Amino acid sequence: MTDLRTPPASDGTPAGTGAAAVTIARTRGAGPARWTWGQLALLVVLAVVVMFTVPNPSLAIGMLVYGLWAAGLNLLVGYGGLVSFGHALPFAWGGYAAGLVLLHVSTSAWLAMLVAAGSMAVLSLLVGAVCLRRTEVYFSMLTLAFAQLGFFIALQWDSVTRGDDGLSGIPVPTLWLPGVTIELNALRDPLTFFLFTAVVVLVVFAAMVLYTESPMGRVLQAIRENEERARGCGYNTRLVQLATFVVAGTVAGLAGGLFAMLNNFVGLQPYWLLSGVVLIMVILGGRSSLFGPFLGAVVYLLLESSLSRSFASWQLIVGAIFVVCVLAFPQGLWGLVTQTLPSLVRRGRRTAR
Amino acid sequence: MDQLVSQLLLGLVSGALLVLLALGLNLIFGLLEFINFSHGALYMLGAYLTSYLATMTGDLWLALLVVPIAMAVLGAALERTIIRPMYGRDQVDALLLTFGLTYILIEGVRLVAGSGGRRVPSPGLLDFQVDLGVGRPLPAYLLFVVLVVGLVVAGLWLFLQRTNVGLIVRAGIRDHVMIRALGVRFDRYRTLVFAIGVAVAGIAGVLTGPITGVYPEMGADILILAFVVVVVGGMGSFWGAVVAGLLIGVLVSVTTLYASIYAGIVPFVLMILVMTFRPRGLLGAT
Amino acid sequence: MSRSAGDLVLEAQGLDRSFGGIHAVDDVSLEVPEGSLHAIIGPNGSGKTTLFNLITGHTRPTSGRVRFAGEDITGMPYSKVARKGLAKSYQITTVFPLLTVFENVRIAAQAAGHAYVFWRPADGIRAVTRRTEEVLERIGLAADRDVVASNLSHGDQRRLDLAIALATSPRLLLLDEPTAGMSPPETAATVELVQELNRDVTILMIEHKMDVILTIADRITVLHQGRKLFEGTPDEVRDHPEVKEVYLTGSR
Repeated sequence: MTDLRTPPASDGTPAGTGAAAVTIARTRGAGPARWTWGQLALLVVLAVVVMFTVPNPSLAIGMLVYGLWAAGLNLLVGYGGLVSFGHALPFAWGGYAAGLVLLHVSTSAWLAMLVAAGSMAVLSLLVGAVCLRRTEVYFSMLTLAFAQLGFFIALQWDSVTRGDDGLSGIPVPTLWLPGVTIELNALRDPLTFFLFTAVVVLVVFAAMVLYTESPMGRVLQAIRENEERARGCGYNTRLVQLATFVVAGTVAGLAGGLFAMLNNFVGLQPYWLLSGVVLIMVILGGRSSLFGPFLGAVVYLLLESSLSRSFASWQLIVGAIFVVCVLAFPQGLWGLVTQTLPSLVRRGRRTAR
Repeated sequence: MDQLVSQLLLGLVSGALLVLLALGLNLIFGLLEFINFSHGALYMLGAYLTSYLATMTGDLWLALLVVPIAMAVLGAALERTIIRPMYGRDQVDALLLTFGLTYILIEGVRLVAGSGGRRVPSPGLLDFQVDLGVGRPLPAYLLFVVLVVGLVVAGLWLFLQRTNVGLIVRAGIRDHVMIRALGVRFDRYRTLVFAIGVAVAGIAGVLTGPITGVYPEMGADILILAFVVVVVGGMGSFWGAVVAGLLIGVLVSVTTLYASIYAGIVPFVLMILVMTFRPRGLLGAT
Repeated sequence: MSRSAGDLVLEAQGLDRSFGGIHAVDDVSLEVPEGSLHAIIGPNGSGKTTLFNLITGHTRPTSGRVRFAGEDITGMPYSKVARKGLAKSYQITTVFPLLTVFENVRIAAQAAGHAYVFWRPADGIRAVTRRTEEVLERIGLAADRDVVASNLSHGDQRRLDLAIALATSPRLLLLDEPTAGMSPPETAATVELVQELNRDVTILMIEHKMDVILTIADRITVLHQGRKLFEGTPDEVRDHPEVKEVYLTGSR
């Protein structure tokens, strides 16, 4: 047994000791500290800040849409430990679904959103059933492959998707509410569109918080920690993961639908090319909450809009930030704010005394 | 008929390149327990190095020697610096790290070499056609590619069967827990295996250059295909990767001939079928 | 279903499992009556853990049947077996490391009636919370309820492991070496706990420490090279010459 010594400190602290647990919790970015319903309040604050500070309305609305999408992905990545590299698939699908409904069926915003989310829920069930045959790295590779498959279909199925050109000229959706009918024209009346999106995003976000707080959401996290043990408690662990896959897919489908309504366009660009971007948003913002990825999306889009103008290879910076994040701050921006900063302040106070 | 045979042979060539990438992925996964997402980008980097070297020297031979060594050194350096801190953490983190590395490599190459592609001269020595008796005559270079891939595959197989490191890698593929228990003493082997995996990706990059030219995104699509190969062949299965790589190369090539619009979809359909009916892969251990 | 003392909770008949021609478990039968504390001993490699895996469905038997509470569970997936009331505590401590002690136990406690509820917060489900607190109290971890599991001491982690198994309200609890790696005082505490649990849960346990087994078990099955060598009460086992020889010479 002499060779089983624990590795030296440079290789991380040895597992099993008390200090190591905290380290692991930190490095995994999935610490036990939870922000539950407070996240909803944070989101309202963030939405208001975005509304009053982001000058480009299309960008501001985009932040809400991407934020919702990223938060949904984090159900899989952070809460479930399932890293999807193909989350562009549900987003793009939702976009095409909403676009096709608005073009060919009805200009009802409700119907477009319903079809985008509903059809994606069904598709998620099928895709998830295959992707979750095996977990961990298999899952990551399979999701990526499915997104690539979707891309090829969107490219080739010209008669429906109009291939390379995409679906342009999607009519402005109409929102039928009891008593009023509102035109959701992001160009002419961005404020209405923003408020409408904010309400939808808040409601869905609240539902996701509820999901993570429910027994089901708790089991999801337990499976991430120890799948065998969860099975031993009597859980069908695949069922829980599949349900989460469907939830994340449905949310992404809805986000894609909103994005199509915002831009009145769906095409290969950018819809199918965003699997990596949304994952970056999640890691940048932090994996231990739903609000973190939302913040990550806002920050990423701010970076993009300010850097891309002055520096063509701005993604080099994004890549570098990402690597530094994974290496040194796996808890992400929000984790930095809620965990690291307070402890630094505490330490600072102690030394000051 | 001639056309079909030629297309089959071309499929074998592209399949052979896939095999190299999938074997590298498998090898790294075997000992280091994560999927190297930057494998495609490293392959692209190898191809770019080749392009510069070949342009300078006017031929491919120097690149074929130098690039794998350079890539191995780069691989070792990457493993020692940024990948090592990932051990003992969640598997997912290493995957994410190499994903971020991909961004840096691709954007870095764009910054230095521009977004447009570059050409790689094919070696003058092989600038002739070979008539195999079946199909149309093939460029000798393509046969050379198959030959080199065959040699590399044989070399890797011998390495796995005949060396101590190979023994550990094979054991690790079967039982990750054991490797984890062996702990820090195997740091050197991890470095070596990662370096070899990256070098093999580099060789694939060298060989691809003269066929398709080089461009920054060349690694992205082939990486996804290499993933499909790994999944279809069975994670960690050496011959699974070889069989699945050649199979997918041939399937895509033949589909291109008869129904080109489906060519891009074929590998994924195969993958879905395999995952549904044989989730451990064609030759994966059960 | 009536639960009188004579009912068999677990009944294994002619369990057999070979790996590549070697019989890991060779024609072993086992009867565990309701309320008993049954122990399995045997030297390393005598097939104890494989036998457990055959019972829980982790490994499919080559032949033989397993009946649990009168129902055939042979080859059933483990999660399903677990839902029927057969809980297992592990040889290597397995808890949910980054969750709190309370959360660890709650996951198990909610499995019975609220497994896949997603429309209401877990905090609001009184019955589950009460059950969780009850189990924590009983196991003696109530004071540590908000501690992250991986920060517990080894002994406490084993207790938590037990608590998780107990929280599913099992009819039969399988314990795989519950005192492995424990100091003498920790062992004593665990023995006491196991005896206390046995008041309302049937227990089948693997144990290496002979003194532990002889104090707490009602019945003991001795395995040797995959076969059942002997079965009897602690006194009978103590006096059995062949058992003595095998156990004393064959173990480490």
